[in-house]
Amino acid sequence: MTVRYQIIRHLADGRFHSGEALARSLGISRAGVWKHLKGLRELLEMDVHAVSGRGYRLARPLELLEPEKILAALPPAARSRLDALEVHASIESTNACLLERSAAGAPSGQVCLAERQTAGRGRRGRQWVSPFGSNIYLSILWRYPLAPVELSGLSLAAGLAVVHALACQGIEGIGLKWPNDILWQGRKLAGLLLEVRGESEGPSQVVLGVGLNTRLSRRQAEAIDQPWVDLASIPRGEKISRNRLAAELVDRLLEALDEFERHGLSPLLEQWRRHDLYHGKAVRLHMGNRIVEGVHYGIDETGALLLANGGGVRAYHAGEVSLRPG
Amino acid sequence: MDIRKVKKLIELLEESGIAEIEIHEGEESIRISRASTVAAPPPQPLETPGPGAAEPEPEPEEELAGHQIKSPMVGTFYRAPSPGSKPFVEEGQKVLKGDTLCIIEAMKILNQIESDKAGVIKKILVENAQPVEYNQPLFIIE
Repeated sequence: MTVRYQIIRHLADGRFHSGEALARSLGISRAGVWKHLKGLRELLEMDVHAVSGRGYRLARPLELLEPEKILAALPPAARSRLDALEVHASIESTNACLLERSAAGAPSGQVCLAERQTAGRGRRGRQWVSPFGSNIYLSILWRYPLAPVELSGLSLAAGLAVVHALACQGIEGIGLKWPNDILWQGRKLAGLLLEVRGESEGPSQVVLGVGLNTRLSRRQAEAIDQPWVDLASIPRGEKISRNRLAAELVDRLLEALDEFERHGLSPLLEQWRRHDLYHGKAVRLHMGNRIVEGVHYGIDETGALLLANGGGVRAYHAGEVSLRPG
Repeated sequence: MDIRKVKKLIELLEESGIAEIEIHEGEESIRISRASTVAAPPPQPLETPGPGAAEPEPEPEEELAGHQIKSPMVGTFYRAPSPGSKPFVEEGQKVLKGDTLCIIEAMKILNQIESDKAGVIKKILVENAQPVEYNQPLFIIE
């Protein structure tokens, strides 16, 4: 455990800690403590208050992710699907970590969580803004005997699992934007990114990554290039325990990954359609350099997007949907 | 005449044993006949295929001598792991079996497409960020 992370653990309670007490318990000099606190402010963009005579404290208490707490909150079904669960204070990317493990032969059910990502990945190499302690970054590795092409529906199944996890924690009004963006009142709360490697006839390995905003400051969110929201701004969201939510996500996603191999997307289609926010709306589909316009006609049984326009209804398997302005 | 009606007529012709069909409708008329008596010509993609259907792009055959890497799915073809980064492979480059050649994104799944053969990339057949169809050739390896 790095010294920086140890300091955060001390400060997480939101109370004042004197520089002297921190130095003593960490076995470093007071100058060392000061240097690390500077790092928290500048590098991690954390809100640290300093009051002379009282010491340092975080602007608000922070519930750090703890593997023991997450494991304790998992039901037996999830524990039997789980291989290992780890929480990193800081990591390049939870997806990249599990992709490496997968190449080295790691089994299904490995779970990687982090408080911070230094190279958080969104779709197509876009950055996923990943400041410390502000979100949940979670990835899971799963192996399938299936061919990569058979896994496309998993993208939708996983999005639905996140919606269910949030609903179980009392969050209402969450919807899906094809294929798997998680929105609240038109703003993005969570996103998923699946990365697949495999032979064309199978077997294949999937790393499923979720980024969910729990509490982002305006400054931290400056780099986000679309309307966003965090749990703290949603009714009942602020009180949610990060560890409980992480456990709920791990449980639901492990179930979705496991069930998908046997049943595919079919049993979930009706539920997915109920949460489909853009159904019937005029949309634009961006596919690489190409743009297609049409009316969002829902999804077909493979999870592909149906668009209706002059040429009839057509299924699309790739691209990014946006509402057509006007 | 409605293109859908034409398609229907072609289907009708195929299903039947008739060699030729001619329809008059007001001022318009259409005649559809089989090219030969051996077999019906393959149906031409006259309009946007229905849901799920995907016609592979016809490619000139002579260009494709050598081992082809074909797209295992419908999606968007990307040559690099992220915009602005170096492509996985260039023409003339040696690759090993299992090397990643490209990414095909479909439904927010990034599929790393691996080479199933060791050799030299002779030709890259698709431009970056272009949609690809199922079974469309992507690379030629020698």
